[in-house]
Amino acid sequence: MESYPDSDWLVVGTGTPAGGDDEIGLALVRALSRELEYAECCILLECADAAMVASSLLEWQKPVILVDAADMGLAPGEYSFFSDNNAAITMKTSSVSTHGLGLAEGLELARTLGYDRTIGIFGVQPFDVSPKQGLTREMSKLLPSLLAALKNICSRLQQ
Amino acid sequence: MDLKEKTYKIDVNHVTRVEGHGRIIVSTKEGAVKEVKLSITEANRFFENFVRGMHPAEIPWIVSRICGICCVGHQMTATKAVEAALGIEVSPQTVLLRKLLTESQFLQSHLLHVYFLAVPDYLGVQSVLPLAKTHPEVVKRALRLKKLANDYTAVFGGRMLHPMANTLKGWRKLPDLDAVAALRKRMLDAIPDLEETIGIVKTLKVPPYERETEFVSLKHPDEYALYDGDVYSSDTKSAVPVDQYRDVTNEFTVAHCTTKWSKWHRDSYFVGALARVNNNFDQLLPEAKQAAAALGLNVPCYNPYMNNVAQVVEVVHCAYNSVRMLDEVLGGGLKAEDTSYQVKAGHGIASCEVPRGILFHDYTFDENGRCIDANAVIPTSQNINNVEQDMKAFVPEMLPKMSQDELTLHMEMLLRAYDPCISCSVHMLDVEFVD
Repeated sequence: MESYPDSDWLVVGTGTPAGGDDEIGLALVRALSRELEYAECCILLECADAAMVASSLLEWQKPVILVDAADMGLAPGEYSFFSDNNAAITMKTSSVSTHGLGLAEGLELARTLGYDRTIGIFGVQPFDVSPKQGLTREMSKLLPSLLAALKNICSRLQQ
Repeated sequence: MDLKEKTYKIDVNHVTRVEGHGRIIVSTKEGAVKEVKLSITEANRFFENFVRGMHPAEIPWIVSRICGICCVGHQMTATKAVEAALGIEVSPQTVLLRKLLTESQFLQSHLLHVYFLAVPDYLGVQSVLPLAKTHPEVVKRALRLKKLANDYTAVFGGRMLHPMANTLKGWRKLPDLDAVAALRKRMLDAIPDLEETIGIVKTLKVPPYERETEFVSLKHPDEYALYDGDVYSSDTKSAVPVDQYRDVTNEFTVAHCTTKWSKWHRDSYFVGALARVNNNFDQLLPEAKQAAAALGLNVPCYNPYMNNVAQVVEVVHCAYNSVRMLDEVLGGGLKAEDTSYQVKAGHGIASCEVPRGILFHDYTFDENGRCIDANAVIPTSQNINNVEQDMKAFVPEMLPKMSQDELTLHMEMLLRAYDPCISCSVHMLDVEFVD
């Protein structure tokens, strides 16, 4: 992921509260926003559908780091940071519906409609995303180290 | 092709939904229709069992999770039913806030369905994703309107999905009046987008098929009924109280569906936007009536494909009615209210209109306030029977004029027109033709 010269990144947490580790993106960005130097660049998109993701990106017109739970085939709790151009994000093009429009479809819509800024994805492999309140115990333990990794990436990009 | 050569076996398998799978089966032999079925094959979701043993306050938030699109409607209907069981009265302020939250959900849901699912059919693309390439301005407008509707829900509900601000007897955290004022301005600024929406829907060629059926919806003496009312039938031109809902739905099972079916005064009935517009047309706001006229929606309308047009009419109604209600909030202000109450034994039933039709919730509590019985009848399960009756009526009409591909598309479009909560359901289905 390249650095971005105007240091104008937004850090966007997405996910679903009450979806177990699907909340990790929200939890990390919420924690990051408590740090003064990052407070103004942090945004939470709870339960955002494709329309919300796409319209937000088109409105912001800024480079973003999306923080979310992602099934990447890693060990649970591991993270990866990658560009949306460098990963095949599974699209639900065969099942688009009122219930089936998610982050991947939102990114695709935004790209098609002219959003040309950098999208970095900080993905965390979840332990469990079945319906329950809060992160799993295992993920909660990893939260400080994941936050440190996210901060490290943010500071690197802003240099 | 000669009609007698038309031997089709259409099997649209795996019409999946949030909570299940559905399937369209059409079989014709030498021009004669042999079989038409809409089969829903998903297992029960057991929400009525989940809430047993729960405290009354927990129930509206739990059952909101039944649907990611109708979450407000499930929450409102459950809130009203639980309040009825516990004998809780609510203030005019709370009713106003609930109506605002309700209309925000209608805007969210109808805009999503019309733009993202229905319009692509008519513009010859397979979904909203290719539509963004061929008609970018249409999709940008859809995104603007959808975001406005999402933000509207967040202002009153605390978040855009599964809101948490509403609770029994009132509001946990009142909306910020500055946010309400900003929302009002955005609603007014969105009127050109609404007019463009009417403009594009007007150009869509809606299939001309009609079948007379019974339309069932809430009806209220003072307003276009979305939040409250009695259960009205277009057959009898009369209404019954909501607590007689089991006499309305008359749920029964059929072998090829795990969804319960419903019927009232005839073989099937229709719930949803077209039913509401047909039954309550006089109570639409003038702007919505003008939209209906511009879109060629004249009541009574028996064309189920026009349900998407009725949704646009309701979008216009809700947008203008929301501005009126926002003015009421801004004019009168909001004050914190006592939301305390006593739990007790009781039984309560309530109904709201949700985007896809009339919704019933029914709860019983013991003397400790624990839920001991629950029942919910959702619009899609009430509509499935009517969809299949439409298919049975339309296939013989369509068969002489259509190829197998066209017939398949029209069956899918018909199901989509009802906007069923058969998730992931009815777009870009894999179609398998059976030899």
